Amino acid sequence: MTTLTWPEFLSQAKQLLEISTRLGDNWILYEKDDQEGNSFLKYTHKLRCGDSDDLINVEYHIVYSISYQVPVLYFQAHRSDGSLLDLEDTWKTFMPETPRSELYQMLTQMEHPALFRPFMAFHPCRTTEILSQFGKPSRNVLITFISLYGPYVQLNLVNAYGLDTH
Amino acid sequence: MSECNEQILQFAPFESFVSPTFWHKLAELKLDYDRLSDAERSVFGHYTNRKASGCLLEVDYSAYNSAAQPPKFSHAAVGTIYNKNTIEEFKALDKTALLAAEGKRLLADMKNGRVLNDASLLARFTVLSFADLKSHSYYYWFAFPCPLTPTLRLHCDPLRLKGLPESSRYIDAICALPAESQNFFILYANEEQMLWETRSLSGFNEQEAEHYYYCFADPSEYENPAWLMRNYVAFLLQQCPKLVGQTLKFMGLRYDQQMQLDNSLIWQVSQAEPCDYEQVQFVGWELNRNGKMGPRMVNMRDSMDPAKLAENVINLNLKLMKWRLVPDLNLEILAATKCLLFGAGTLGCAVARNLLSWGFKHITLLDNGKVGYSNPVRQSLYTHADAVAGNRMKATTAASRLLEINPSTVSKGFVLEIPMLGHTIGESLRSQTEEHLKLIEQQVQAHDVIFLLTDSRESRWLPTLLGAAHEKIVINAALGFDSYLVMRHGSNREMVGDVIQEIDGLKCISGQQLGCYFCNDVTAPGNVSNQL
Repeated sequence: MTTLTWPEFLSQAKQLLEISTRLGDNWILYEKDDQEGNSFLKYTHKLRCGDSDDLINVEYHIVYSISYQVPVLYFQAHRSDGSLLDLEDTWKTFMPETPRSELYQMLTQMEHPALFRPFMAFHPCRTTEILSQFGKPSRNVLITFISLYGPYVQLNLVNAYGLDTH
Repeated sequence: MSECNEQILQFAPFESFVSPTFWHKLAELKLDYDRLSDAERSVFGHYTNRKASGCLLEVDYSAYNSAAQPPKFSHAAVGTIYNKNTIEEFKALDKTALLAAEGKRLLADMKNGRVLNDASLLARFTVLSFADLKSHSYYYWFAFPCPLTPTLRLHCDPLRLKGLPESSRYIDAICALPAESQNFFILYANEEQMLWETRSLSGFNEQEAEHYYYCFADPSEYENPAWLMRNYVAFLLQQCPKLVGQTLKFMGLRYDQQMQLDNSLIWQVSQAEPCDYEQVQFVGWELNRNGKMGPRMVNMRDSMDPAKLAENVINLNLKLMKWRLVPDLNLEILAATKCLLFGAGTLGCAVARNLLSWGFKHITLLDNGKVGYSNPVRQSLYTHADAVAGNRMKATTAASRLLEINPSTVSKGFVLEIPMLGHTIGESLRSQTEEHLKLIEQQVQAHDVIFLLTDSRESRWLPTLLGAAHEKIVINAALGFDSYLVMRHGSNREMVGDVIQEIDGLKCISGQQLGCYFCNDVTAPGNVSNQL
């Protein structure tokens, strides 16, 4: 089963950061301190939200889950006046077609393990299963993870992230 | 060659985009530093010309730093915040005068060389605000001051950079310039001499002006250039009045996802008359969400008020439990139901805590006792310190403890004796007893569900009677050493839509046919205190 140790998470995060800089993208590594789980990848962009066409700012964090030993995708969106989107608004914006009974299992509000504020997140309980479905282990599990989960919340990596540069 | 139809150049107005951290930091500064002072403060914003959405000027917590630190791919904007102490001052402030004052500062900076030194002063903004720290509401109004200079005539449709001959030479020259300097600069482009070089604004040379492109980082995603170009033009014509009447080429740099400049736009404009900088008016207040001239307001309680945060998260928890386990559960009814608890002892504390966990908000407790030393271990709302204090009454202590656990609770405690059958009431206690009786009946009427959680049989008699008379839901619980009882008393209430359930092996009795604690018991309520 695909899991990630903390040192592996850190080194793959730095790899992703390198590719991002080379491609002129703006991923950042936020290091709160050097304790396990307290550094995470951050990405921000603006989206136009469905019906009202208003701009929202979405911030994504790729955080390490110590108990599940996998990356977890946390995110938070705010409007131009600074107000945050709550869970219902988030579901309406990102997954308007999915019935609520399914959504609560996958995409809910959880406390950010490093920042201790409520964030939206994909629950990590099935992540290792999903990451293991390819048979061979990925050279960068974070890139695989983001490319699998990201699109559901409009976080897309350009194909160049997957190019072999060695 | 595109059609030359001499239109007027329109600008894309700036749109404010505020991060929640901007408000968090403002609240902190107001509470810890400014307090009653409403002196103006310097702030920094930022704007980006990479994959720009709209035409945004952004502010976040870094606005209040002493030096500008724009994020990667962004440029600094310079501003002032006027945070007023009251909403009246916010409303009464002369907005035109404020804009004029800020505008005059901008012109002064153009004249005295500050802009030449730091062109980010051209990306200017003003914030008028009022922070209601109790309700976490923020009233705000952004302005992007700009002198109302004569209109700019657009000589032909805008060109794209990729459409210019030798465009790669332009791009190479621009990319050689470090990112921080790309907000405002000059590009000298001489095709005959095959020379492309950048110049800072202070390197302006009148002799070369015909080959100049006046470049700026353009945060607009629209066909029109961003608002800040207007200040740029005003600055250039103020520095070199000879440029009035001449055709000037402006280049708004726009980077795409791949960091390519191809779609940057070029406008060829001229200003026919000079501007009288002494008399000029100013424009720039941002329209509100309805497109009208007015302030905006945001309520940040959901993310800033700890009590609201707790409430939101508790509600979410309940919803998740409901969706997973009991989809038919109506959480709104639970939250609105008023519970009256007779007894704030072992049963009272336990029931109260459980009600909280299920999302009940209205809990009233009745008890005549004081917190004693043996209570805290079994009665989960009390601590040793309560017993030591020696004068803490259970009902009121329990009520305030519930608030400490969940600030959204509506809890009350009344210290009273429940008049009991079989117990004599002395003449001296008569009026107090009548008062308590009245209060008890009032409370029963005011609540929806009553819980009988006292420590004797006879103390349950009066509440049973009142519950039946006022048609309330009555839940009765009693603890013995090695046994317990939990029952719901029958009621005459007609339940709309109540369906009698048939369960195999069980005799199901409708609510109207159930008895109470006393109907179902073989002994009459006596006085238990002489049995101890």
